[in-house]
Amino acid sequence: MRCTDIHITSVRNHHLTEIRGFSPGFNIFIGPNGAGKTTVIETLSVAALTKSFTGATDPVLLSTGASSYNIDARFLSDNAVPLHCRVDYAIGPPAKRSIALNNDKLRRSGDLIGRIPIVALTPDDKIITSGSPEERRRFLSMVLSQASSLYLEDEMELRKALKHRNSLLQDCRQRGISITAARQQLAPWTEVVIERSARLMTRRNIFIEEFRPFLERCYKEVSGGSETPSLTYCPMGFDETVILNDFRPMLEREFERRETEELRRATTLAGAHRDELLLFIDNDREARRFASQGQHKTLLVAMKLAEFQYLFDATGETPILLLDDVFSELDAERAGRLLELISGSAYGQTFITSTTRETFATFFTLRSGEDKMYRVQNGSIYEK
Amino acid sequence: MLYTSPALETLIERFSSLPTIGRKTAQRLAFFLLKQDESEVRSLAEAIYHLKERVKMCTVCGNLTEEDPCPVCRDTRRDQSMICVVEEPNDMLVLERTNEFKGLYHVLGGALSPLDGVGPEQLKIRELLMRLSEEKGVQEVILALDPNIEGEATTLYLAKLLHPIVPKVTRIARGIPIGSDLEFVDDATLAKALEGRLLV
Ligand SMILES: [Zn+2]
Repeated sequence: MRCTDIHITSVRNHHLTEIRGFSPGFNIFIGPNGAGKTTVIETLSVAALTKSFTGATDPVLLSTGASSYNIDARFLSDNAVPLHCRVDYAIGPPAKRSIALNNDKLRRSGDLIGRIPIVALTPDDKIITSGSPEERRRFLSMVLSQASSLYLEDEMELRKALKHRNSLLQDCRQRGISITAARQQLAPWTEVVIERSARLMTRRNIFIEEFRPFLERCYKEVSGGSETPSLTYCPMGFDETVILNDFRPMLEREFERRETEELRRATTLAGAHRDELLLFIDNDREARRFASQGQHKTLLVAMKLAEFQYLFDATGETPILLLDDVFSELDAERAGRLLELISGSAYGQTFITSTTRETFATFFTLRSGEDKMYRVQNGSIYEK
Repeated sequence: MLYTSPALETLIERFSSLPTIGRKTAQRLAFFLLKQDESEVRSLAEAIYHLKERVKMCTVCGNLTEEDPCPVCRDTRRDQSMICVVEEPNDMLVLERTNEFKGLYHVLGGALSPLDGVGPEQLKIRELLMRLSEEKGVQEVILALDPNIEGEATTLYLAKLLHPIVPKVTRIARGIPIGSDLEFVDDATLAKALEGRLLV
């Protein structure tokens, strides 16, 4: 997949930006902080994933003083099938947001996600290897929902079911109703949480096994060493090295075991939303606690490149790679290896932002006619 | 600030408080009515008024009706051994249009939704149980609720209550829209249809 053109109206400091004829290889955006480099690739993620990789909400994306924004992006699949994606947002009240694919208005964001596979790496992603379990669940969700729309649907339904169930638990606590009465009301919600969780867990479990070899290979490529990372899936935090196909018994057991605690804390304590993904570096030392700064960086880059390889494998489509201010974070050696890697034939279109040209210019000369460099200043783009 | 007549402003306000109608549409509707004959406007106003005056809820099934019980409940030719449970009166209209179901209905008035404060007491579930204990001949209850998480939880909740008192409890299958090409059906629908596959 690659993006050919983008038209941005009123997103952050881009009042009107149009870029036509992106390179199918590297597209490098150079400019000072706050110039609007990230916004360009951010809009790409909005067009492809319906939301920004920065997590910014629509009112945040909207330019100051504007009442609506618009992102219009054209893509070409590996088989040269054109995709035209348009996102419109207008402040209300009520606020309105619409997404159209090839001029057909989409009912659900799930109908778009996965069509244009994207892998983004930003400085904020550090928390994937060093932060709380939630960050790694978000990583799982990002990869798997692009690989399968059924996974995405299950995850959205689980989230909804949990909201209902938690609100019921709060209600039960407030009214101080008996455990038997509570049980009867909770039962259908417990059942839908178990059903969706079991499906999500099965998929996550399979995913980890499929992802491991990609991660091992990418880590070696980025580090240039022989160290082998590893990862373990812990359903609801259980570090049981059993091979499970059916997670239902485990979920039912957990719901039973934590029933009174749930009513006391008024929140659902069992389910796929409690999963953990553990990352390890050499000799099975947990990355979050034992990895050095350098190892964290290598692991993160390797996770993202493995995500790229996995998505390519799962969707049959080359993802678009977005590297936001990544090279300033890496030492010269790792930066060089990363550039060399993504120049390889396994990778397709890549968007890179950087404050200075020099950070990577020493390792890399533009492949004439293939790569493009843009200068970004105050929300305007100048092709070099 | 009033630029025109208070009557016009009031009507525009009223229209724009309706669902899906914005201020612009409200203005267009009001100006359109202003150009109509008085008799036209009066019959529209009467239609709106009669809606509230005449339409009530069937005390048997929860359907909307002018006579209680509703025509469906009164129709003795209908199969009294089957009750189809739906969320809204509109769902019943949709099912009736198919001409396939000849049994009776029961309208719940929604689905379980704790987030919106809708529990079993807010739905016509007690009425359904009462009905089943009074009408002894019911052999099958079909649960035809919306294919979303709330509909699913409600189906599970009802199934548990109904199993001990009705010989057969079923739910409608989720499938692929007729006339659609498999390749254009979204993956989630296709996966659910696969899950509910049938022997041939
Ligand atoms: Zn009736």
